[in-house]
Amino acid sequence: MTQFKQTEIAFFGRITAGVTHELKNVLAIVNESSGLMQDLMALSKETPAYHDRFQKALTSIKGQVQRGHNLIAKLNQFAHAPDTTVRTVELFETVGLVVALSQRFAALKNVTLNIVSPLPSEQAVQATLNLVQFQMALFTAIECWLSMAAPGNELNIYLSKKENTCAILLACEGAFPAGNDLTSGLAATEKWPLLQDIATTLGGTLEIDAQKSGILLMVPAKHPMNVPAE
Amino acid sequence: MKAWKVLLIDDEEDFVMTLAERLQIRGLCPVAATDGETGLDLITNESFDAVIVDVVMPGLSGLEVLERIKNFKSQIPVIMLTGHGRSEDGPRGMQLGAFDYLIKPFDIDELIQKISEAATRRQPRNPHDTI
Repeated sequence: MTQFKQTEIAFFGRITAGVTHELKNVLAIVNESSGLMQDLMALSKETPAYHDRFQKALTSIKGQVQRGHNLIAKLNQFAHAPDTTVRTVELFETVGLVVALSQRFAALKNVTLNIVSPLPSEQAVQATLNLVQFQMALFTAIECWLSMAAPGNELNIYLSKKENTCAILLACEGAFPAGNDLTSGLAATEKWPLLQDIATTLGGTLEIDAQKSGILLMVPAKHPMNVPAE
Repeated sequence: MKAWKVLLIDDEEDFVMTLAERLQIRGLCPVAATDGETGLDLITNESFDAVIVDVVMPGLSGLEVLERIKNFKSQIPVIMLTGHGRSEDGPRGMQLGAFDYLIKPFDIDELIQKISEAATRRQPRNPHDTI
């Protein structure tokens, strides 16, 4: 990645991170204002008209504040990805963030995304890599897979690490185009060449696992210093 | 619940005024300030059981306000408000002597619990305190 591209990504990250902070303040004001309305209703000596309806609406606002809070927290975390070019990350947490941010794209296709919890000893799998590129690779793999998926499919994401290689398998549960169809279908998706490029840049490999109806992305657990920059 | 006197410092006026009203409903005595300088003036002239301060503010940041409080009224417990759980602001505030921190938006009962703990465990007066 060129220095200028890195700077561009960092710029988007900084702006996004700043705006998420403002949005947190917006949510905090909505939260306190709706809370005050609940307080005042509780203090009223007489039951106000539409009391139950107000309570229901205020409960809904509280739920949406929490939903917004969760989304913004993830967006903020994502926006900080370009802060450092190469860094050591917890793989499970990083994949979890990308999966969480991809849920809406999956929901639009009526597909469910799951991370299959690794064993406790594997939860602390660390990798030193270019975080933006890794997140982009994973998201692009999900996009490719979604473009082939049928409504009702489930995409299970498995993580493992052997020696210096992290393996991320995106495998299907449910009826899916099998065998050669999957191989040729995935390779024909619009984003597949991009995914191959990113995997190569990460010093990794990309395979289609026809048996498991999935995509296998393998990346070095340590940033490959020998991979030439663009 | 004791009528703890608390100072709220946050540049978001709607937030700080609404929060003050809610604390007042619950029997506390809140005083609101919308910038760090005003907050420090209030601390100089009045006594508080706890200070609640937002980290990110124009002018004096919450961490700067915390540092100054610890320099001249170290016994006052300070609770920091941060926007994000993953940011370093909360732990940094703890290193600088904050009692605790909360992530916005928070539940008011959680804040009151922390105020109560902070005011109850108020640190003994530092002999170097100027006031």
